[in-house]
Amino acid sequence: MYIDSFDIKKIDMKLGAAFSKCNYDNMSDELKALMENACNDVIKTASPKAVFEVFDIDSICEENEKVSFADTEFILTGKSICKHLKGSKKAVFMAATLGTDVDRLIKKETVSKLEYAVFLDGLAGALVEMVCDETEKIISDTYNPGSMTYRFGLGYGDLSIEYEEEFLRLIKAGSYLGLCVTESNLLIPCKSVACIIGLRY
Amino acid sequence: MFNELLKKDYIILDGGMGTMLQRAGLKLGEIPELFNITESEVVTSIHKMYVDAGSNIIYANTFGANRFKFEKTQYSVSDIVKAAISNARVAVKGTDCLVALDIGPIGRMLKPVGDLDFDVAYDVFKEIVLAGKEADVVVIETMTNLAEMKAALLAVKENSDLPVICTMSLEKNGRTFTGCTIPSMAYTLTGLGADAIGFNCSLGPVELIPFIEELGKYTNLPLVLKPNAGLPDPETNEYNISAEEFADVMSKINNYGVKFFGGCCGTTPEFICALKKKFADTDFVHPDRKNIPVAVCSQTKVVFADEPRIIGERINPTGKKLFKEALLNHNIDYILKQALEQTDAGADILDVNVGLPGIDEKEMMITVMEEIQGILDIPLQIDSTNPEVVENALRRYDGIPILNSVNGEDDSLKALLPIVSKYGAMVVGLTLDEDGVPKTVEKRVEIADKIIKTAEAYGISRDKIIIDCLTLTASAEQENVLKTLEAIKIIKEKYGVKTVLGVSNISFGLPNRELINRTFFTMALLSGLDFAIINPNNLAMMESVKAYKVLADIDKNSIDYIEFSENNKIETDKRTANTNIDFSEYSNESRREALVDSICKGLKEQSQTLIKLLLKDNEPMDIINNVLIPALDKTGTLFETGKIFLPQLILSANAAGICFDEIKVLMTSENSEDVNKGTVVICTVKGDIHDIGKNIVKVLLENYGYKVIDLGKDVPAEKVVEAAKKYNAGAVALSALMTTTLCSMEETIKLVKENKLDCKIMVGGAVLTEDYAMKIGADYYAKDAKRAVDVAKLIFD
Repeated sequence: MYIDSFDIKKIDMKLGAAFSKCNYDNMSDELKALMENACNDVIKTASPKAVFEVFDIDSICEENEKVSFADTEFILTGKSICKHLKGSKKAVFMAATLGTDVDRLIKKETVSKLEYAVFLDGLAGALVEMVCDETEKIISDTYNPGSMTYRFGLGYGDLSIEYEEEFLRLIKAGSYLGLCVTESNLLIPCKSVACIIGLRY
Repeated sequence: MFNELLKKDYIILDGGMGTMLQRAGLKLGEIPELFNITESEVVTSIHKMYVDAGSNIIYANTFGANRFKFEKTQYSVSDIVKAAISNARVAVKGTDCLVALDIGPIGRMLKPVGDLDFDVAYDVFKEIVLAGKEADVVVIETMTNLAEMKAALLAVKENSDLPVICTMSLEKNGRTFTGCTIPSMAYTLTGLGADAIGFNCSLGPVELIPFIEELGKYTNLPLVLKPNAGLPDPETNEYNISAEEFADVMSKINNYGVKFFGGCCGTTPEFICALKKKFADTDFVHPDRKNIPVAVCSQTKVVFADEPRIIGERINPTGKKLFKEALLNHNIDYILKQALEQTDAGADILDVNVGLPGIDEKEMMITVMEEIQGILDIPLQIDSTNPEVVENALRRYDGIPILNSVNGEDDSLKALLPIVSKYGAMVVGLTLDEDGVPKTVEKRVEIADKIIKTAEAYGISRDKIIIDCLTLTASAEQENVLKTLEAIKIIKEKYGVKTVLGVSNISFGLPNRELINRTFFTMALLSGLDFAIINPNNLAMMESVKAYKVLADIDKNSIDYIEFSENNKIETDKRTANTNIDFSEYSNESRREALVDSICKGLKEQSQTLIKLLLKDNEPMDIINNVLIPALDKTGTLFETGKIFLPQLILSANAAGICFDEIKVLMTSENSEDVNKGTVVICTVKGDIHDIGKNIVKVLLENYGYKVIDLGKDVPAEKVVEAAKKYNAGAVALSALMTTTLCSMEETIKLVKENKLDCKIMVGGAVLTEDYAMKIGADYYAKDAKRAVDVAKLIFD
């Protein structure tokens, strides 16, 4: 499922501050005002989008450290993902992005106003998490699980980041979001997330 | 064969391949192109269905056939592509249907957004083109990045004689994922010699109507439309238009200049059948698309020459000591700041000149061009006459640039016009030749005539030419000043080309230069000047052009002029408000204290006022060691104890930086030795593209008085060693933010040590620990930017 209509008007400032390595409550008024401008700029520039596919989990083999899914040959390996999906009947493969314009804005401000870029960077990080939260709500409403695991990214624990490219291809993140990876498997655009969520019933 | 097809009223392409392969057993996540070998009959039968349905061109199953996709398989690109074309050939046997080699996106992002180099992308496409020589036509489709489309188009044009169709994929807002605008796409692909251009995928026919209409305004090439079967239903993922509805809408797009019609995702042979049936009863009108406006563009912005445009002249080392130094130190940020400043001041286009003895102009031009295009939309004017530099710059420029310049000499025209023609660029022609700058109007017109006619012989049309009639200096050649303006009028009228002038020369040698400059500028505008090369930071000049646009009825209702005036008033008010404190009455000691306070509070302007005053009565080294550094140490301590945060640390560092800049300006003017506490080479290591942390360390180190050579991100170990040697670095600072790139860091440290360089290595990055840093051979570990400065002190002091 593809979502491009997110209605997020304000970014979580405390989260944004934390991502910018600040403590929002202890910030001066001038810094808060700067952060307010940065928040408006990020909202204006971002074009948030998300895509996800839900797969039935075929089997989780802890001994072989392998998870396999119905209707696809794609598998995930490692202790961490087995532990993460243990008890889940379905797995959501999800990706979200804010688009390339935000990356460009941060880059531009890095040259002339680095302190502002720090806030843009932190707030953009917070926004992408909020986009994921909204997407999770839609997943929950659509699939009605008893509970959902947290978002497990490729590269977490011993889940190899080498799966990233195939993972994105599987959920057509390239066509829907313009999302791809670098040679070392970093997500581009940078303000993006790719992750796995277990649905328990 | 293709040319024969073009004589028809309409040409029917095929429909979706993906859906059809899935119906035939392709599993989710499987590579569709492998079916060419493992299930060749299935592929051929799908092609046959489209041929039977009425397609005039079928796309071979090669959309994702590039080396990256097949890395982990046993097949090569050549194996797959040849099999695919062969399958398609079987399907079209005995018919007139043509076979297209289908090239889709590589699946990686080109620099500067991603890490894929333009030349590598070109090679990937070249491999596909060479393998697909048995096709009748090449199609490059579903592209969203204009730079990648350019690499693919060049790969086809330079390695094949086949005609080439180019289609891009738009979002609902009429731009691609990377922000490419429809006019940018039109100008760039037409300029590069595509045979037909248009859109495919992402949207349905209804959504694409306004966009194809817009495309037709900016190109006279035949247009292509290959939409999806509507939009996917958010719940079922099914496409929402039937074959009949699809054909019905497409038949109404019969007068926009679209020649090629087909379907993409969700469409089937049924859709093509419906198209064929419906088109048989449709009258097609192909409008005469002339009067394409003159324009220059980047991927994300088009600048039309429909009103006077400002070209910013500041990115040029001539006569600028600090700029020259920045080039020698590979200080790209300095140049980017110039670009930002000029753009903010209202420049429409930026001239880029980085020619300087002692540096690699070719490498510098590419780097600067790519870095500017990575952060700004503004189109560029490439200022060089070195054919190697020009070829590389025009090749890699993302959009259509201006080349500055050729002149009337045969050598100049022969060396540069072929390059201009190949890349579809605009070109400035200076009306001078072997005899120098002409004295008469007639001679100027004569040289212009030669340039224009020679350009036409190279396939460069008049809408790509901008003539520079050369500004003289009024103090030396007063009687000839008006001749320049007269020549502009005549040349515009006679040849229909655009004109440009570098305006500032006029006043050289006279007092009150600004007055002469802006008067001449206004006179030139009235004579029909289209482009002016000026310093956009000069308010008087910008005011002149804004006023002119009001008086010439260009700026309707003076909207832009009023906004400009109001903004300037706000800026002036701000400036007067900020300099409220009069430090002239302060004692030296009080001023020193006030400066410490300013820096701690991050007050840039106040710091600048104070440093200027202090430099009159105090030695620079004394100020650095006893005012600036203690101030920074004070903020550093506040940061470490959590009383202030990173942004404030940066602001303070910037305020100190302003002071260092003033000291530098003073020492440069006195020709004294630069204050340099030590040189540090800094970068993010190979494979890593995160650089905000590295940039914070850089800013801090610079503002504490160290010379920093910033190599950027994704930097191979060899480059680090090279730079450390070249700049005699006392320290190398490496940053990495991913566990997967730590091995690059280790490699880099190893190479530095192998080369026995006389420098210390410090490392930093969220993923590092002190233990790991020592394990991989670093000398120091810096957990944050402030600590990096402490380490620098340890190394150098």
